[in-house]
Amino acid sequence: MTARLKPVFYFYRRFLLPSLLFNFLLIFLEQSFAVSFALKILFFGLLLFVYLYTKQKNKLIFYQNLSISTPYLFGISFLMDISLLAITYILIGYAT
Amino acid sequence: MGMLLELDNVELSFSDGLLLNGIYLKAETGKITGILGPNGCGKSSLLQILFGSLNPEHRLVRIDGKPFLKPLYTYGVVKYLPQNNFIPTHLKISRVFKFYEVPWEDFIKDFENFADFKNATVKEVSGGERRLMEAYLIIKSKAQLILLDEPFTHLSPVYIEKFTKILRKEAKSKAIIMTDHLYHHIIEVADELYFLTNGCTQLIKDPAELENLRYLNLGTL
Repeated sequence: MTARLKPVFYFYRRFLLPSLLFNFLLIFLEQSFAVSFALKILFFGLLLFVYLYTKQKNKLIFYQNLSISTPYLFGISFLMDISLLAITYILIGYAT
Repeated sequence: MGMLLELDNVELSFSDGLLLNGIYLKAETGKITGILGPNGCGKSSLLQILFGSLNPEHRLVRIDGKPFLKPLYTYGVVKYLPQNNFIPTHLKISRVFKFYEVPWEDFIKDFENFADFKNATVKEVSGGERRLMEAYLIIKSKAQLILLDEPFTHLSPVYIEKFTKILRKEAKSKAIIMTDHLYHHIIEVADELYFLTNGCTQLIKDPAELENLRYLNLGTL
């Protein structure tokens, strides 16, 4: 299980900082959690599209060689991102 | 323990027509199986179908007679080297070796000039070095079945020689299927040879048949 989670985390890590900054922007613009959640779904849909229909598709083989399917890769990354969003909302909510 | 892999009943078509329809391919532990064929005949598609990253209309993969219905890569028995670079460039080389469970020390023993790259990221090495590293990772990984699409392309003659030796050694405990346009390397290392044309595979018993099939010019071999 951990052997498959680690590569997924390294895949998601590239998007961690931009995602965190985006979370701050959403909170600054006083968007509700539901709106932010919907935007995250849109973002991951777009990311999946880029990976499936551009040259990036080849990079998925790196993960498939580790027995990580594309739904698993994007599903777990989405869960990580939503957890980050929830943590950001909770922490900022306490601070303000 | 050895394995016997068989692929047949493949039907793959694109918008411009049927690409594969009469396929039978067999590979077994201890043997290198080579696939040759003209450009665009479907060699790469065939490897992708076996690996599970390309879904044809029909395909039947059997290992030791037992059908495997899900993509083969989900079972963890196969590793695949595609034609193009597949390692994400932002990863550290040492991290990639850890993920694929291939000891970095073994790689350095075979290719000393890579020693300084351990902490570099993948994008810091040249195209040829990257190709060598990718081919090495796949061939040395613990998978029972190895699929190699053009492993010799972009490699210098010295690297090809070293890589061929490693390939022969690893083939003792793995089933290897490979294709490349550098046909003489394939003929040299392959124990079994298939020719793919018009959507069908044909077992080649004597490489001279490749001249009759007009894959090679008469007198080449």
